[in-house]
Amino acid sequence: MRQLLSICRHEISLMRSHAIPVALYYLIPLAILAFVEGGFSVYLQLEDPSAGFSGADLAAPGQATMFGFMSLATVGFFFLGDHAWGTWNRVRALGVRPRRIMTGKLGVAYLNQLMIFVVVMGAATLLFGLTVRGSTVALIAVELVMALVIVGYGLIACSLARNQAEFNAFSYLGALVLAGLGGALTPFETLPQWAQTIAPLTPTYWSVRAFSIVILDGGGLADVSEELLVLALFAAVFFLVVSRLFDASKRRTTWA
Amino acid sequence: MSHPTDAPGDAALVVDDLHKSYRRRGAEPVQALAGVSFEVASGEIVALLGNNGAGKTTLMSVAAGLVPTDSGRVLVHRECVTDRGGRPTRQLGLAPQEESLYPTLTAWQNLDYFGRLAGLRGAGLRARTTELAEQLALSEHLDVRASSLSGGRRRRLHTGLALMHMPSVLLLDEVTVGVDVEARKSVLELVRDRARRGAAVLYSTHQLHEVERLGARVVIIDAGRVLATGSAQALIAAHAPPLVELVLDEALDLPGSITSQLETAAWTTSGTNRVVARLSDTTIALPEVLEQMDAPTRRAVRGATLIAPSLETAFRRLVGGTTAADGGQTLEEGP
Repeated sequence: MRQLLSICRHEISLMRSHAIPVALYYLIPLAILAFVEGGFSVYLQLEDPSAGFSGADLAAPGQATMFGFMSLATVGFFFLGDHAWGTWNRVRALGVRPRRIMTGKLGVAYLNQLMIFVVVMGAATLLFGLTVRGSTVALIAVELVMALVIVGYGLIACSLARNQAEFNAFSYLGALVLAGLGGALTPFETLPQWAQTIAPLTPTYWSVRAFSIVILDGGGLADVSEELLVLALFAAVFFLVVSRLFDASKRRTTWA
Repeated sequence: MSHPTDAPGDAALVVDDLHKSYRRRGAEPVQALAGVSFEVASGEIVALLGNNGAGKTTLMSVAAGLVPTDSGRVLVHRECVTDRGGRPTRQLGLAPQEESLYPTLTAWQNLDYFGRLAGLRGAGLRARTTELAEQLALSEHLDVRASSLSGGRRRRLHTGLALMHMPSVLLLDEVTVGVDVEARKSVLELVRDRARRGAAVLYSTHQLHEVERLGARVVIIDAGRVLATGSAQALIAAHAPPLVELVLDEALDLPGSITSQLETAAWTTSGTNRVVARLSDTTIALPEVLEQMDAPTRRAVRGATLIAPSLETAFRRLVGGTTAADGGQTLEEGP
């Protein structure tokens, strides 16, 4: 356990040594929120003029989710960096199991996901009038499981990618395609029919749906139980896939 | 960390009949290790010598438990690190050939992390970091990012990470590559110090002069096989008799007659005007060599050098390749 904490602490040190790119994953969603909040607001007004929704009610969790996927690029950078710097094998040579190294890395990545969510939702509340009408516990539960899904997706990217370019392709795929299909970029109902048809195959569809139930409809934990279950299944599948795919000895590097 | 005491005949590091091949799609397997066996006792430094591609780095990686072996085993204090395809142990300290540290973290953070991973904590960790930084001459640079350190300091830090937890078996793979004289001196002193304190050290290098400075026993490998083992003196005595190099007037075709004229020469090799003769009499002096030649031959000699026996000569005779010190020349054995 102490070794695991040392790895987590070390990953935080690495993130601090790259503070600016890490901070951008917190700041950019707020900037984008400023651009898209008006459009989401118009859409919500059309849906229910009397509800008094803010555009941030729908846009903020979507942005947090999208930049959660985007931030996987830093996970990839430190993971692939470990290989390019030669420290991956060096740490292993100390008797530290790859599973433990990855647990430490992804533990910090998980906390980073939660932090992005807290910062984006907090700033959206203060700056853009986001109001959570339902249960805060349900909101937290959805984010806890969704962060697990994103981290699991990041692990698959770690397993498959041989360099940063490949890893970035995975994180952009998650951020733009999965988040877009799920309704994190634009309101789900405005997506083309084909996209709406396949959207339930993406975890973001279920997270955006759960966030909407809690934030817009005032739902509680029971109201999002189905969404939570599906998200948990996605997480389980991702981790199962990783357990089959991950090869600690695979040759990896950063950009070369 | 304590150093387990080896029972007689029970070395700290045992490499036993290691075989390892690399298979690449569409290509013949490359045999990196073909039955390598040797031992390193506690307190002993063993220098692993071999040309590039001889199998040194593969051996280090297998010994560290990072690469699975095809067959054979590596024991560290009787614990097998090659079971189940590789099982690293904290009793090992590895400094790989390539510089490996966290470039954006400070020297202190690098040392601290490796200390923590090895189980050091609190005052003990701080004391060990401070002590090692002094030994590495890095005390003034602990707050500097590794990427901002000079090449020599980075190399010292790289080596120091393997020593942080005071392992009882050290695997050092060409750790002095590209370092300056001062850095080399301090790295070698660190290695000697660890051996004096009981660590078994396997030290891979191309710098043969380091072997004598370390007082190391030598294992020479080539094409994944052990060619020779023993002290540097024993290898020199067995494989490196004294040589005399003669530079002759190019206009004369004399090299062919030199062999018959030098009674003590066991063999010669010649270029256009250069003759290297191996002397079977190890006590002979240069004037005596020249006296064995007839007058015309002696007059054709423009220069003569008695080459003292060395580990480099022994290595070159065994492996037939080049070393870092010889500028890429290759000696060919004469008739």
